Amino acid sequence: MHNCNSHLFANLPHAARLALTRRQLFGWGGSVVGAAALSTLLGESASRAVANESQPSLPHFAAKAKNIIYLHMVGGPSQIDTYDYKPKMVEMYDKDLPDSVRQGQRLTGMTSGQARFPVAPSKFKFTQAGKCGLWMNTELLPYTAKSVDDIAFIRSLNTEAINHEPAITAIQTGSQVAGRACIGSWLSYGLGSENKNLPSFVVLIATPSKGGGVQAISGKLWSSGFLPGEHAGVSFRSSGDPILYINNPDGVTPDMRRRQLDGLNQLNQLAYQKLGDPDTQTRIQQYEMAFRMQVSVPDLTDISKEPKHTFDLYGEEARKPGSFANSVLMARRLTERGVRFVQIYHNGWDQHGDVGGKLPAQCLDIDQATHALIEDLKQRGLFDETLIVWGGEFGRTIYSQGGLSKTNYGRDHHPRCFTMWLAGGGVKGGTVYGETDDFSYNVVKDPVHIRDLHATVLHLLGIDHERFTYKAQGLDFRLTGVEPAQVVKSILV
Amino acid sequence: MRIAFLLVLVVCCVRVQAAEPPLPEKIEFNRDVRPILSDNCFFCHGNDPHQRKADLRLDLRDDAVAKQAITPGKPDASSLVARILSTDKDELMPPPASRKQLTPRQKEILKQWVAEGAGYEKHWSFEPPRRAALPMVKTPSWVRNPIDAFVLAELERAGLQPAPEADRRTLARRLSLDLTGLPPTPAEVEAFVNDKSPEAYESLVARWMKTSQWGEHRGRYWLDAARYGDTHGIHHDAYREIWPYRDWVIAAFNRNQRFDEFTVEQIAGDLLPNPTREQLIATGFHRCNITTAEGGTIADENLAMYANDRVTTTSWVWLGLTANCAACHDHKFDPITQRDFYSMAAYFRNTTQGAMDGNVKDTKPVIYLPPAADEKRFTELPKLIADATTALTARRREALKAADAWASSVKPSELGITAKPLAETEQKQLDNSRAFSVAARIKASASLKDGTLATGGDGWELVVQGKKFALRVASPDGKTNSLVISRRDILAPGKTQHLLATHDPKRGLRLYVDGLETESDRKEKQPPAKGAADGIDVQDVRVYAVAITKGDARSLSDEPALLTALGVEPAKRAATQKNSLIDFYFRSVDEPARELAVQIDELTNEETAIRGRSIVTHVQEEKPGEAMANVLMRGAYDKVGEKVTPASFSSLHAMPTDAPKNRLGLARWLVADENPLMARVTVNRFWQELFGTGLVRTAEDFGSQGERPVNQALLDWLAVEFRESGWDVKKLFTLMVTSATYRQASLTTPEKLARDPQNRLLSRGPRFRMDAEMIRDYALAVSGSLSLKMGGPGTKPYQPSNIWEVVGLHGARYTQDHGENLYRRTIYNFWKRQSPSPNMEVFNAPTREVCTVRRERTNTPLQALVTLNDPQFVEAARRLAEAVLKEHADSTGAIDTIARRVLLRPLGSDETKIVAQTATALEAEFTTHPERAQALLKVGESKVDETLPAPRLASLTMVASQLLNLDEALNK
Repeated sequence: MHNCNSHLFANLPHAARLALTRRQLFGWGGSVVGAAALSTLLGESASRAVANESQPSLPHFAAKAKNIIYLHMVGGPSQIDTYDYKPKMVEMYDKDLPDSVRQGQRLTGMTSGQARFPVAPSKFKFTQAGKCGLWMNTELLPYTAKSVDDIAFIRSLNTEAINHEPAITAIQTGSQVAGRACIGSWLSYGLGSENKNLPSFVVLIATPSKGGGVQAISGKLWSSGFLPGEHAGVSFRSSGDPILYINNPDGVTPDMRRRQLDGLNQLNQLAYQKLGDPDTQTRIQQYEMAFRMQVSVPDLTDISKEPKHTFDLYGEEARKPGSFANSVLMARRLTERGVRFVQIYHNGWDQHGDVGGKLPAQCLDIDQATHALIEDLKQRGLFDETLIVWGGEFGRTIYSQGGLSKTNYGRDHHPRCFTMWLAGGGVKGGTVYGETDDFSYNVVKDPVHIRDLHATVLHLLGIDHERFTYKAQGLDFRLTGVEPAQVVKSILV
Repeated sequence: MRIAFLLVLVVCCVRVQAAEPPLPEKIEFNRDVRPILSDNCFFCHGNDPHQRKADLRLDLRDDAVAKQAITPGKPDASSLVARILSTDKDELMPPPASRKQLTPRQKEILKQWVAEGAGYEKHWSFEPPRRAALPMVKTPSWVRNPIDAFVLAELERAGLQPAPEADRRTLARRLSLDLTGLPPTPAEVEAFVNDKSPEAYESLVARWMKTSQWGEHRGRYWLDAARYGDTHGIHHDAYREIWPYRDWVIAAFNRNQRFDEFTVEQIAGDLLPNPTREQLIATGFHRCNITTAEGGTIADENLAMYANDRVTTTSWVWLGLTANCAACHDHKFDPITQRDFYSMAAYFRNTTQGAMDGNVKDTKPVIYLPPAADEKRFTELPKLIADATTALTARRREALKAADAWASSVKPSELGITAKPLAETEQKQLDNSRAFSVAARIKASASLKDGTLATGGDGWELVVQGKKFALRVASPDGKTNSLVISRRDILAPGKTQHLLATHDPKRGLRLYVDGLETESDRKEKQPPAKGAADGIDVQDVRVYAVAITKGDARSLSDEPALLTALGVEPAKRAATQKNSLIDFYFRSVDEPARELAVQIDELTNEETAIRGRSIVTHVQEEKPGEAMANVLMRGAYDKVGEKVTPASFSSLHAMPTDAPKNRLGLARWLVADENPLMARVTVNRFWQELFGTGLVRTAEDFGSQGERPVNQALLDWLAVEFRESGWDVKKLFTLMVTSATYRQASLTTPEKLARDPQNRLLSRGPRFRMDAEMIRDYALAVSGSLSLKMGGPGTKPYQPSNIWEVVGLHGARYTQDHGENLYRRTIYNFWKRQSPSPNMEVFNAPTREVCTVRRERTNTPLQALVTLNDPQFVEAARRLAEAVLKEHADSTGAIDTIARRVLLRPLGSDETKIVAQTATALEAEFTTHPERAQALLKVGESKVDETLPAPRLASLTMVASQLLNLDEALNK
């Protein structure tokens, strides 16, 4: 492999090299792909750098965590059947949800026509877990129950959106309207990557082992929005090429590719000497980084060398490409290699009916692996510098959608309260924050809006959400938007 | 402070130089002051009354003076100056809490501006553009046309010289790429190199502008602005058929349609007198916005979203204003009020389009474009149907008395609705070779499960799928079958419904619900249902040995109601009961009426059949009644405020007095000569297409927060020229590409990099990475595999597996095309918004979910992976090598020819050496490992010529790929 740092830049004008140093703050691959952004530097982003001059270097203050693994449960898991324990609901079985609780709040078009809204208490067994004594569904989440003393739960999350597409867009980008940048892109933009061979923001899509309740997720959730395109999430795939087009065509070995690229570089150097366009240097870097990715990705994705105890910890499911357990293991391997943000989407949580049948399968998919991730990171000394976020895009209703029996029911979307949890660097384990009413319908204490969650996540990464802005369309955009947002200090160490 | 400042100077001399130039001799409000006020003050002291603090406006001179914030000529008596210079934290402006801070220079500017009298100017883009006199320049000989005079004047001011003219090969390549989006052929280039005529360049311009590829290339940029895509965009992201609009755009550029007409037809083609089919297709522009059919979404919210997108897009594309900011509150920087926003929304809300797209390809309003053979008949049918309907109404009026008499005397046994239902054994003999009908009265419950409702064994079954119902019929031998399923959800839990499916071997299958026909889709080779439907009450299944007609379908559904009506004494019957009997009489008893009904039925069937064979395209259609909208507080659909009627933005030019209060009025307002923005914004986008960056970099924002033009005199001159030329697009492009500015070589010098780092002053020729589509088209073109076939449905070239499948909802499958469609121009790629072609997206092709008037241009390693490894590019490299190897058996000759095709120039001797080294080394590898050569040559679906020596072909494939990946090849 070629060292491509110093000598290639020898020809660069002074200004470009200066700019390059500054650029190391941004983009993926630190200094090296900072260089890949060189063209943009001397082209469009020169003005961007100037426009952001008032923005101090990141982080704004000492960061508690360096990396994030965000586990998004697509569809919206039921808080009532997982972490928001509501014992009084047993007596309310099949009674109508009081108007005093519903307060005329809007419902989706799927249940607004229902003649009645019968209360469906959780059918699952709740017991206390951990030293903190958290009441939770230990029937379906026995492994996670072992980790609660490392986790801070927020039971009072709330959002405005009541349908999937806008809600998932809102929790990922801070706005229900498509086109903004997602959290992963913001952090890639702000903090860059610590690995010059891999992107700073990786997306993994985990397929639920049982079908049903699946919602659409699309590339726009990890697009960079108005931020420069290199901050878009790179989706690693569980089948075919792990990164699109990463593999050489059949018949071309790495050595042959190397030889082709050597010639390519020399030709580009000649062109640079002739025209003096700094973009040409960028091009050379771009191809070198691509080659290094080609070399490093097979090693990254090859889990066959993981020892047996890894699979004892994560479960045998982790050997199956595309499973949640496999994705979580991959997330650990990525984090280990310095990838800033790993986003996992696990689909299948949209249970409008048959919670009794579907929720156990969903929990089985994630439970052991989630616990394993926490343990594994601890063993490797990474837990304290990694932030893990778990949750969906909204919660679910206490009243049953469709038929209700003691053993089965459905639940519609509920944006007014839901539970999410954080663990790892800077997070005070064994904490529960926020409270909902007896029906888990309204927040009664310490509400946390999704923008407060965003502010908290940024805070843990050493970023002041109010100062972290990007100018686009004549506005200074922030992940947390224009409404005031607060860092949830109570769950921090 | 001073020391720290110096340190910064040392570390970042380049940027500081740019940031802190000396104060100008005379302060100009728009150039020097407005950006400072806009960035730092207007948020609280600007246009938006809700944010306004201390009741002070600094955007209006009179207000600022009245409040003594500014005392013209007297900085010491101006509180603005005192406050920005204050050392008291409570006094200082902007307040520290705002995290905004003025630089020393900015403070000086404001102070000096007040001292000079605090003159205000209207924001530059709201003043009408004027043709300035051509500036005097030191080297007039360089000037080929007025563009050059404006450019050279700026260069001279900066102490820079233009670059020399590019050599002819470079020029030909650049020109061809800019006019057609494709590289020229080596023959075209050589002809130009050898053309001694003084008009050689101009005739090349004229020739390439006449090709059909011109329209494709110009159209591609426009389709970004129009957010054109082949799917609905949200949730299911299902297919939307609207490609005739894409083809219309291409054709409009090819016939050089005046830009004002081009505008009017897209905004309001349907409201023009006797609109042509093309003018209707043009209105697809505002049907390209993304829509949803997600269950549970709220109609008002969706409709608000659609209108919001249309206002935003219109405003970006034709006005260069970020009106979207005014959706929630008055614009904080530009004079657009929230009321303005919703007044424009009123134009777009007055449409017959519904809130849900239904996940179907033809969400109303649409028009049908029948095949040529049907076209005449299709235009005749509406009148024939109308005539027959009029005749039927007349007949009913005429025979009403007879109908009354019949209704008073008829007995239930005399109704004789249709043929007798078949016995069960007879039902089993039916299949797709026979006409028959199946009817059932059903009541679904919430726990409805898929399955069979009724079946005659292997020949047919009536089934439920989700909330849809379908009839599946098989051939007598059981080998083929087809299924016709209702297009929309039909089954409503808790409601009794009458379902009827009819089959006619000639006319096919049709479905009726409660006596009315419902739209359906036909699918072939469908498996039978897995068991009986559940959660549904099925009563009264009847099977008939005829395909029941439309009229009888109604009677069959109405039968229980009719029998009830007959059970009541004639005089005591309710109006509805009486009417159902009278309707029945005219449908089934009165012969003339019955004949007319059958005739209408047949004509309607014929129309439906032609529709089924037609291409669909989405259009705009005005709703009757006056257009209106409500202001939505904070942009929220459910916080409905004041009602507004359609109006243009109040602070811009006036609406023409004779303009109608509908979209046509809006369109006329946009193209009015008085509009200071449209010509500028359009010219700027065209400039951006050629030079990579507009004269105003923020192509979507000409407002106060956008960039000021880098050369306003040039922009304004071009804008006036464009308008006065009759909005002649080709003429404008001719002017731009024949300028000396455009023809410069893209040679960079250290001096130019320092003084004109981004080439905004145009001190050299444009050179930047081509757009996604151009890169793919380029590889196809030089390899000789590009198909120039135009138009038609979206094509599906190579794509890795599991792209659509991973992100989409059930059923989203990418079915790759084969043959010619693999090699069509990229503008025809099927554009699925939630998963655009991954090899294009990585090169910054937008998702087309929202309007894009300026693409990003980034360089990432993922792009290199595409052009090195994507089968599309690997195959193109191989086909190029193949074509060349057929002419040149020797490696040296082959390499030279490959280079000439890719780079349009011969290689230098140093370059030849490098390429030859690659070729020799790889050929040796492929010779030692022939299986590697075989594997590489198999990439792609086109067959390889096996008579050629595989190791050499494989190594030349790698060489072709090497050259296609050169910075030079990827750049324009």
